[in-house]
Amino acid sequence: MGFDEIGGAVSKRSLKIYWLVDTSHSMAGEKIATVNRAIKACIAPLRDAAEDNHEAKMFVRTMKFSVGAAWHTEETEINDFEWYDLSVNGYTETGAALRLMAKELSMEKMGERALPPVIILMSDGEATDDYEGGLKELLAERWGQKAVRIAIAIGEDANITELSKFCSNPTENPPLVADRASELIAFIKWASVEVSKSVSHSVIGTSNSNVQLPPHPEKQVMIGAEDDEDDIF
Amino acid sequence: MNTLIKIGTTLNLTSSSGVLTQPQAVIVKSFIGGGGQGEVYKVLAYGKEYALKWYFKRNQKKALKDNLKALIKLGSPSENFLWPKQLVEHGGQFGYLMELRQENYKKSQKLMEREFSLSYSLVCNVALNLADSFRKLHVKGLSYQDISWGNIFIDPEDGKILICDNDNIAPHGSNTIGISGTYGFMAPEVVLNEQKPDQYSDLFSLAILLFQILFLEHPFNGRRWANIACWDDYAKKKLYGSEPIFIFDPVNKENRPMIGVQDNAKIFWNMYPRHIHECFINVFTKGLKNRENGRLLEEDWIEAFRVLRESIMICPACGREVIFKEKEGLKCWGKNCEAELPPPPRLKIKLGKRERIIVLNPNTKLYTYQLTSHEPDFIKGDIPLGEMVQSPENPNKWGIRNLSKEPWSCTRKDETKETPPGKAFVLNSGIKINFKTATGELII
Repeated sequence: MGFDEIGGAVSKRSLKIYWLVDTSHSMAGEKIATVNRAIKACIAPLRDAAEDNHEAKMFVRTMKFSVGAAWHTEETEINDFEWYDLSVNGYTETGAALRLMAKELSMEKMGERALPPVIILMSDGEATDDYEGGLKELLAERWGQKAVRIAIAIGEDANITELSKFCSNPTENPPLVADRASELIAFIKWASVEVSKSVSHSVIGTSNSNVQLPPHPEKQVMIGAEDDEDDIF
Repeated sequence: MNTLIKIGTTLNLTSSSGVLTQPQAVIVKSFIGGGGQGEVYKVLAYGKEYALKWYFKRNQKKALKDNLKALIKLGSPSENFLWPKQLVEHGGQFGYLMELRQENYKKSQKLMEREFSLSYSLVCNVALNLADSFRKLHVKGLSYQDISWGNIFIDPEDGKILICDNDNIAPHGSNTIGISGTYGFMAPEVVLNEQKPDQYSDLFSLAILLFQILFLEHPFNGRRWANIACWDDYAKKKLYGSEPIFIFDPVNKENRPMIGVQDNAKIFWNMYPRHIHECFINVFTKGLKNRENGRLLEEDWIEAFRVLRESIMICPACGREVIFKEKEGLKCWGKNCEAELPPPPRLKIKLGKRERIIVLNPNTKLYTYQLTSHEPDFIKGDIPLGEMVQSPENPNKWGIRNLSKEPWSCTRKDETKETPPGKAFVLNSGIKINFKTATGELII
């Protein structure tokens, strides 16, 4: 007879992952389809990662921004999360997205104890509104500063300078530039799954950031696979 | 899914070296999991299933390959390690084969989630198996370098363990692979980057693992942890590196567990006797800085858990295991039981200067280490030389059967009788036993 009747499970900290997706017109077609597919593909490995981690309770949430910004899904624990495809319309109001994100990171909303949230910003263009103002609001929040902020540039038209300003550590982890669908999937998975693992269970390194990120996904040819056939954006 | 190797691929090996007969081909059957260094697959090699670890391109390095070769050549220190068996190469890349982990072994961190629980005897088995395995690794001059939840698996039925991810193991003082460990398990000097992981930091990590297995809380996660809003690397470096304070530090009490947040710590701390407390206090106070003298060796842990195991008694009312303590009003801890417990029959064994008190339960065994020598090897020391038996005629009559090869002599009321191998002496009050190498006395 074991000790199952006394004590409880250890206290967990919340680990929140946010996907901020550009849904402007230029994302139409393969780009948005790839993002939809990639986020869906993250769910199972994120559930596995959450299951292996007794110290964190994982939540995910998606935001879309085009004409203004809005939450596309509620904050949901990863085990209950279901995906709804994003569709496109209008401009690229990234500034509005960052302002909406900032509101989510208030001390009240983040609770007493959490792990650094992970915010993944994906865009294929440049902001059509007040980007700097939005960024300022985000970084004014203490949790905004603490957040692991990763940017993914979709295709060559994305404004890298703008996205770099969003990144927590642009020198060590500049925006990831995805030129192909397969790269975009790999980057979204890395930023979501591998980064969330290291946020909650990091292995020490030499970085000066508040979270040591894992090495970027590398271009690797799968042993035994046919040639890579996917399109270039 | 994007994996390093496509499922169904046959790897025609360009080179292979190790303890297995030379496999010509390895068929990749399914994906098992991915980690920081590479991926693990279930594979088929000459008719038998194995696990294959294949490295990411960035880890396909000569140092790692040479280390693997050396480990394969050295061989596994004990059966509890899923040790690399065969280095395999294909298309200029490499990986290694090892045995598959059996289903009965569960991820150790599931203990913290309370998905399974251990009893005192199972806690002792787990701790003894862990200490014995790392002792055997260390006496080969090696260090593990990354003891943490992810690498340890437990069979909740019998307390057996499996140690995985053995490819980072390196000679003490060598850190060719460049691993530092996992936050929460690393010794302070490793967190602060003053030292690379070695045997001394392994001993610290082992103590952290044992602490969590017993008390279901982290030894440094007290009030200070609870008061930190953002648990990032800065916070971890402070609590585990520059300013670690043990939650049960007898002098510095500022980091006690917080009520409502870290309740397990106090509940389970109170379930264990003083001698166990002292082991942890030693490592987590003196051992924070004093690497050489403050960290318990595996032999010390083995002795501590053997003593704990000897003090387990069974509550006659509910069957729960309870730790017997001398000079205390004993009560069962079971929520619906709380029975007052009379002191159980014990055997006092003197071996040289060492005196042990062994609680006698229906399943108690007398072990080699108790009767002959201070055998540090847990497996060898645990060979039974005696066992409790019930008289076939009278179930109320208990005795101890001699499983050794030598006769014992038992004295009671000035009369001495011999107990030859295979026979049992009856546990009558006042009986004294001469085990030849040790003496025993029944306490009722």
